[in-house]
Amino acid sequence: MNEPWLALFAAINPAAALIAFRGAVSDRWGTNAFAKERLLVAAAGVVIAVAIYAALTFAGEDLLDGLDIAPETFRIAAGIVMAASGVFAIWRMGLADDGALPGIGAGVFPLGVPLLASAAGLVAALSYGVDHGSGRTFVAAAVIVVVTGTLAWLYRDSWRPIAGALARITGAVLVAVAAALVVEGVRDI
Amino acid sequence: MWWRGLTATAVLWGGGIVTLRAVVVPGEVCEPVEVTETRAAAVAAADWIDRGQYSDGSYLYEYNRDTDERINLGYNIVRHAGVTMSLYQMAFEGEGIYLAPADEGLGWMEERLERREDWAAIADNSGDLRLGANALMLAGLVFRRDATDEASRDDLMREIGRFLVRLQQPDGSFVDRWRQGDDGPYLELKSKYATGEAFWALAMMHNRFPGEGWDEPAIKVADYLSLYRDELEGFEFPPWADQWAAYGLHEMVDWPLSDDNITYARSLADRFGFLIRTEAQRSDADWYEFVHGRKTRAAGMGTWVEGLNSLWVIASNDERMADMEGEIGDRIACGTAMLAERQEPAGTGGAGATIDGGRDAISGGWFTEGVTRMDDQQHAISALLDAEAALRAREGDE
Repeated sequence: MNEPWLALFAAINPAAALIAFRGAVSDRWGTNAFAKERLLVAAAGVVIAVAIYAALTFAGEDLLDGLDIAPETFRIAAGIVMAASGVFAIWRMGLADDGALPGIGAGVFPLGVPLLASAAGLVAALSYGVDHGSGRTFVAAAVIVVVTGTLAWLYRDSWRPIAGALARITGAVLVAVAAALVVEGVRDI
Repeated sequence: MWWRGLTATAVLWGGGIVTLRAVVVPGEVCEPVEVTETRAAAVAAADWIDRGQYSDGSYLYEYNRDTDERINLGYNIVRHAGVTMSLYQMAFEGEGIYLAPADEGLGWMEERLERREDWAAIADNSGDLRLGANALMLAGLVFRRDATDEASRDDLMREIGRFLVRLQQPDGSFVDRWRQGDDGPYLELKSKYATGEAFWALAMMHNRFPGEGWDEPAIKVADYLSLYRDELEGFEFPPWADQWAAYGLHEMVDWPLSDDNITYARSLADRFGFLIRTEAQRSDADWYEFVHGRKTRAAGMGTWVEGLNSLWVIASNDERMADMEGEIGDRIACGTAMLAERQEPAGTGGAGATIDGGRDAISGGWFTEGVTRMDDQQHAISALLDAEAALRAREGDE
């Protein structure tokens, strides 16, 4: 698996996103109304997240230019955000009690932002997009988002133990990827 | 309670972005700079040195603009040789008026010359013959020869070269000095600066006098620097940012460089590039100074640009480093822009801010906390002059 795929998978952390999404919609989880709109909620989350990843990966170079930040320096910032997210995933597995917007709005908050378009995912997309090519990075982000969105649509409570373990393992991977990114940012020209 | 979650997310992200911007990624400020401006800055710096030269050929060592103090205590022979070398470099780059003050500086060194067996070396005030001072004197003589096409000091250059080789150890390293009264090099002391300085001088000697065997010690020390120095001499965060080593590698670019030399050159480019990026984030604002530290003096920042200049030449001539040429050029442009921007412009030295005889002691200098030292100007001159090739290449691209 090449670098952007691994980094974005770890940064988006599908298992943690699923657990957090499930926690956020617990007030409506068992209802018929939510069962009917789950597909739309997931689709809305995917569309919003993919759009944000597209904007960041394709405009990343201009954005960093505008902010007067060298890509190498941004790696350090991205690594810090990713490491913090990784530690959070190890600690909380993505559990959150933040609630969700009513109805299909749950696809916007929290599924679209900040679960699929997570802070770690966005900085990773920006950094890897500039360093490894925006097209390649966007495809990786989009595929991971679509798969995660699909799993959010299909999610069952019986998945919880496996998802919890995966969320923590992915968090640990994210910490390792983030550390490497920071070191690269410091060591590179 | 969705609004609570949404608000918390917005606050967390907003606060995170502001904190990151303030602490980790403030803007790297490098205003564009043209070759005409960098040349003017180098000339202004050389004028500062020239105005501060005393009648015996020594230079104003340090000047405090806040107290109008001229400080010559602890005058350093290595820095004297370095400053003289930078004036010869100016002459070599077409600024012939600096040949006269450089020759006066050379005269000061020649008065301290000692000859033994087949070699010669200048002695510091304690009588020690130091590697760095002699290496930089030799580098200065090379620039003098290149600038004037005069061969009058070729034998002296060879004598000093032989002294340098006497200080080289079997592993390629150098010891720092031959102490007064000793009958051989003092083996207990190495210098993190002088080894690279000797490497550069010997590599220059081979390029001016091919076939005389100067390449052998140069290659030996190049390998020592590339493979062993950082570990054996205990540098904690390798590679030690050694611009003198970069100068030496630059001289060897057509020999050619070994793969180990290239790996080392790449790591040096990475290190210098990082230092320039970090410096570009510094500002005089209290908060940024607290987080990122105070701006680096020109004697420090100049060395980073000097190193990058040499590595840019390697990158533009050797395929194994070609992928770094653009980025090295970017860092050079940034470093030279910061140097030019931080220099005291002409006419800033008013009444009271004078060297002997009422000469301006501020214009063309780089001051840190009110003080400038002659090597601030020396390193800035070398950095600005050697940057011209990379800057011209960028101007051509744009």
